Amino acid sequence: MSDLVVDVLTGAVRGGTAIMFAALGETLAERAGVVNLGTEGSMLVGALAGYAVAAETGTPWAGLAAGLVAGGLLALVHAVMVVWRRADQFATGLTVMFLGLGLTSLFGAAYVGRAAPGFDPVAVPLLSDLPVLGEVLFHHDPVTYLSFAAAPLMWWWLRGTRGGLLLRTAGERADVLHVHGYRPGLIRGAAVVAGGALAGVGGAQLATAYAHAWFEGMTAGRGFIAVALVIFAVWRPLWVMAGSYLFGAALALAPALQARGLSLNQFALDALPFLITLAILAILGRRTLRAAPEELRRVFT
Amino acid sequence: MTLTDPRTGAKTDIPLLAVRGLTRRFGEVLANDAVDFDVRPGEVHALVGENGAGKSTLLKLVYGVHRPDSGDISVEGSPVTVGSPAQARSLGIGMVFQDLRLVPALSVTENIALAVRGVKARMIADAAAEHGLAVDPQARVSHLSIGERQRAEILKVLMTGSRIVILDEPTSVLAPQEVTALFAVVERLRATGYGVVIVTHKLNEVRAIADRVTVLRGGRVILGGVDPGNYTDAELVEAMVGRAVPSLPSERPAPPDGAAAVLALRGVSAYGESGVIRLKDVTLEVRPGELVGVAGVAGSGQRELCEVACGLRPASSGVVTVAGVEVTGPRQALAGGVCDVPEDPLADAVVPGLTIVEHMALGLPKVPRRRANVDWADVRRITTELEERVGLQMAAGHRKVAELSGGNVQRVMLTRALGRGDSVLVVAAYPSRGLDIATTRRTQELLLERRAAGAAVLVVSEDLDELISISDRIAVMHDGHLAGIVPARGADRQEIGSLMLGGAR
Repeated sequence: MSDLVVDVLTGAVRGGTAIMFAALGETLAERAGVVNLGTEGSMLVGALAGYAVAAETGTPWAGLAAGLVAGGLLALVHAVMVVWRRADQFATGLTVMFLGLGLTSLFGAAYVGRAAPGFDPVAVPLLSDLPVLGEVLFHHDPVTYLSFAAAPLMWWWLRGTRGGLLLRTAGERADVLHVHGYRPGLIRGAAVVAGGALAGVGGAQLATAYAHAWFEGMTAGRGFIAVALVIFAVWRPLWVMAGSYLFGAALALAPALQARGLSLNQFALDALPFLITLAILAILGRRTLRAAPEELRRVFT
Repeated sequence: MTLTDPRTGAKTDIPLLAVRGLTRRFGEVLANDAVDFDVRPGEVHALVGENGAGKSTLLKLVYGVHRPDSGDISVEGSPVTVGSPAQARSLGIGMVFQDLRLVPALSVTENIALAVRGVKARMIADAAAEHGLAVDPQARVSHLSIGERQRAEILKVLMTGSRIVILDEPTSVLAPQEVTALFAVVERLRATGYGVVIVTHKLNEVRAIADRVTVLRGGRVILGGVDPGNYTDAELVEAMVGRAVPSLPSERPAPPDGAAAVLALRGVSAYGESGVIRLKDVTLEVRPGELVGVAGVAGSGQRELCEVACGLRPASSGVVTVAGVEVTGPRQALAGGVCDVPEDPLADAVVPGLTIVEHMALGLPKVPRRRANVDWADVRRITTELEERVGLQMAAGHRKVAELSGGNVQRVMLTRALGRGDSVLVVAAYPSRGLDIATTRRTQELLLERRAAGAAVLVVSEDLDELISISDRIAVMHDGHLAGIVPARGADRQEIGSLMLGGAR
């Protein structure tokens, strides 16, 4: 039984990392006042770019960088549309998501089934020998180790730095920035692009470290879970981190049970993360909206 | 007047800020017509005038929001062009806007850091102490009272290095105590050589704080930088309005004793828009022939009180009765003879695409018909009749409400509500909002006429002077509770103020 717990917890970290990168990216965009439903698309292009570049260059790190750039570029489409053209954020975001899906189907066919070098788990000396914690936290790929620092870093950056202050103000009262001679549009656009880049990193991690494969639509809704997650993590990076692992656990439960010979309906298990999302959103209802950045609330209502 | 410059210590009487012949036209409207205005170091200069007199235009020209068509601006004797607010700030011109420009979700320090790079909580605390502005730099702005927010905003302006501090209607949202505290800060700024411009329309404030006053009307300077001590209130009002405004009759018969209350609330609580309880266990009676004023800091439950009385908002507990009948919805309230002037007509009570006449038809208890159709000729006749009786000069009846200014929409609301001679209860939320002085006076007369005709009248206002002059009793609200009820005659402002702020009586 305790084996199962360790398995699920380890799987939570393994499977939650990609969601966490995407959700942190969405946090940036939303704290600046923009909802980006295209996050799923940024993950997908990040996954394909990451896998393809890793395959072509033989370096997974180059793949990771490519994922970052690709995710950011796709988000740039969203940024231009909603910040400068003032298009509807929801319609644009969905369209951008489908654009990402289409682009990756088109260019990804060649990489389906093709092998590529990826990130392999590296046990951290000493720490990995800790009971339970060692197994759960310190037998992962290098990108996952990076992700441990991502949420605290974002928390610190948003709270403590000038850039963080400007970004938060863009999401609360953009007019105030204008009064002080800043350009809120530029700040928002940058936040959306940076958010997409993070989602791209999440996608690249998914392809090169988690699945070690590319296939069409491989993110399977993780980008949308990330968007929902940001809402019920009330726009706080550390809560986003915790929530990502919750979903990671839901994803890890099915293989862990199957490995023990329990035959459960695969489709029911696949639906679990989404059922959890719905349940949490239903419980919270409108309550989260009160914690939303002001400009974002205007988008929602 | 010779004073010490705050930075150089040199004696100077060169104005900190001077504008000469400033003119600005918006389309057909001459918003500022050759306006002269100046502020010297160590003085408080009040800028007064009605809505549309050109005060905000003048401020916007000085603060670089608009460019003047002609005229000069100079700072400390040197001519300048102010192209943007940022440039105005770098010239030492600071503006405290009426709708304070603070981000509620951020702390005071973070807000000031948006304007002043690299500022630390410590520096803010020091500056606050220096200027006598009690503000906690760590506090989140959304947790601060309006008065505290205003102090934070003033502090922000001072910390950007402004020596000219412009306060745009700073007292309109404050309780009397907070006004006293604000004026203490202004006194201190004056004493330390700052130049303060204060925009207001309250003459008692001009007398309390200003060294000089400039009156604008229709974009022109009517009285330029005069000592208010040399003018009577009536003279200053006449300068603002353009003609004499009669004062309200001060003697009024007392409401009849012992009559049964028209409006009675017993232990009434109600939820506000956001689902938070905003009206808490309020018990209040308004008798026929009585005018009860409601005072309170904005958002203390006044809106919910009015809506509950009109049946527009269900009480979550307690009982509301109008003329003895329990009110459970607008239907009973209307049948009981309630008419109301809503707090925010544009949001709650008007249909922008309909004309004034159509709005009148909507408000009639019985719409005149000819066979199956509305008899529009009759509605127009009734509208004209109401307008003549009420005398508030509405815009033409065929105009759509969407085209009207806030003040003109308010005239429509008032004409519709106060023109009816048969209502037993009048609920008026901020009736004089957006109105000029003469129309405000006429509205007050109308409310008193309804009272004299035996109606019960409930009036919410943020203007304590207005409430004291027209009410029989003043109900003071604080955080959804009825903090106390005081007789209006001989009411003590400080006492009402401490009730508004939640202090003990």
